[in-house]
Amino acid sequence: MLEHWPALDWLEIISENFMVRGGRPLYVLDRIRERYPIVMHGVSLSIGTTDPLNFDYLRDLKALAERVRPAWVSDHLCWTGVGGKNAHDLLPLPYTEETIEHVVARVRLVQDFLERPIVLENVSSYLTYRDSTWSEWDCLGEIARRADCYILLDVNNVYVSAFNHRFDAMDYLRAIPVDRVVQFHLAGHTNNGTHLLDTHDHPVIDPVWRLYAAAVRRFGPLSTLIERDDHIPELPEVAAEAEHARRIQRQIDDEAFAEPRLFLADDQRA
Amino acid sequence: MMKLSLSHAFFWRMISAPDGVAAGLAALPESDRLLPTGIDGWIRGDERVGAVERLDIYASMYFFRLLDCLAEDFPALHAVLGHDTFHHIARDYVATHPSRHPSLRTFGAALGDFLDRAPLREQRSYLGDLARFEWSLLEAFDAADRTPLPPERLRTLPAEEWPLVRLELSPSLRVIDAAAPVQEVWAAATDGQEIPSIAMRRTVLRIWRHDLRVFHRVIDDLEWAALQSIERGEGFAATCEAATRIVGEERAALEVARTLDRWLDDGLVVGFDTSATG
Repeated sequence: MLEHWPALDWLEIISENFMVRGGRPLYVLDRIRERYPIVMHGVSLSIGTTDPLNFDYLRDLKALAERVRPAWVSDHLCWTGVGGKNAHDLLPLPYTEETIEHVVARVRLVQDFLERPIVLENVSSYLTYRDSTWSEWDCLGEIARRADCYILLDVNNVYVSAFNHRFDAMDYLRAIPVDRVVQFHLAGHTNNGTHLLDTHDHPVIDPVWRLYAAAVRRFGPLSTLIERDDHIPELPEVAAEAEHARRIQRQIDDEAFAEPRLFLADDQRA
Repeated sequence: MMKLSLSHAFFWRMISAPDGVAAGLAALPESDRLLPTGIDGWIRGDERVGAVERLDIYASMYFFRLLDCLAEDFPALHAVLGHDTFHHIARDYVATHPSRHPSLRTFGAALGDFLDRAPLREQRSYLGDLARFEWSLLEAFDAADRTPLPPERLRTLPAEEWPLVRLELSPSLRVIDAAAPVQEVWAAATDGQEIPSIAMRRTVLRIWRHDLRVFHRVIDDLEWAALQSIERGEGFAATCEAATRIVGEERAALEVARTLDRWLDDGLVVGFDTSATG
């Protein structure tokens, strides 16, 4: 990366990987930030846990955001642990009024503390709770509206969960408020026959590309990230997928696919 | 409707049950089952994947993510033990030391001490030391940044100030007092070589980072004593006394000077003051 400076529009970092004191991770991050816009994507906010908010974590997250000056800071609509323990996994929530009130109150506290809006991503899930009285899509939209936060729409996660829970992915897209979505994620998954697993270790499949085209039609040509965590191919292969996303966007809208669309106040821009 | 906090607590017990969800469920005392309707009254299953199986997907991701993290952070230990034994140890470690930090980065911190107490099939008494060595490499990798002191700053110090000098060492510095030369096992394992059998022989290692690279080096008794003296906040005079007790008065000054030179070359000294007392 530091040798070739590939032509990338922007980069997303996993926040926790850089919440360290020093050394190579922060050295590389600072060099990269000089040349590319960055968005911060976290996995441990655990906005849906019933444990108290972890302000040590939030302090570190805020310090990293001050260093990186990201276009935005995102995490997931999920919980990651309870009783002080962390599963390091994105665990599903029951979609109930209790959950909505709980998450909305916490998102507000987090946004006040970070002094910036946050962006919540929909997760892939493998189970649903009988107690759920809301659909996932209505719950996510309601939380975004009530808490005044934004949405990172992971198109592959919609596809995976639609298969696993037998809903229509288009119902999901149609219910998400257009003015709340700021970014898309795309990824590959693993088909286990009875269920799909969100493994980020394969190329994006055609049905997900089609769903992406539908998402671009509804939400506009938003910043799009191809996620790859395992079996990571050479950069040109992932770049080709990013180019495919660009082509879809161009087909649907002539608007340029470039930097993350900044919605923060000017003085928070890098 | 189950309270969110209860639902989370129950979910956690199920995914962290060491033998899977069904066994975890069966092991719960009657009073703790929380669910008059059984697991199907809580989680929605279908003919493709039942409720218990759906929870098991999370249970297995929970364990394997932590196992993978340990295997990545302790590559030499993994190679020495072999995958099956490593897997067993990880299972016990996950059960007794669940992650309590938002970052996986800290998860393996207690593995060395855990191994000291673990009954292992494979009796290698240096395993705890090897784990602590690998952990120190990780700690040095992303410890706080400090710029090394330019050597001239100390070398040009007037002689009368030397006894009062208190050195400040790199925040990346770690010292492992091991019962065997575990760095030899580590080097072979991370090189993909056959694991050598090593004799138990006390080996003190210092681990530190310089210019973003992590180094390690075997140190002698004098250097170890000097590092301990500095850690106690003692001045150079006291450090020299500690050295004298080890190599005698005649050699102490020369040996300490050599050691200090090495520290400066290694970028280990990051600051000093001249406020030592006594």
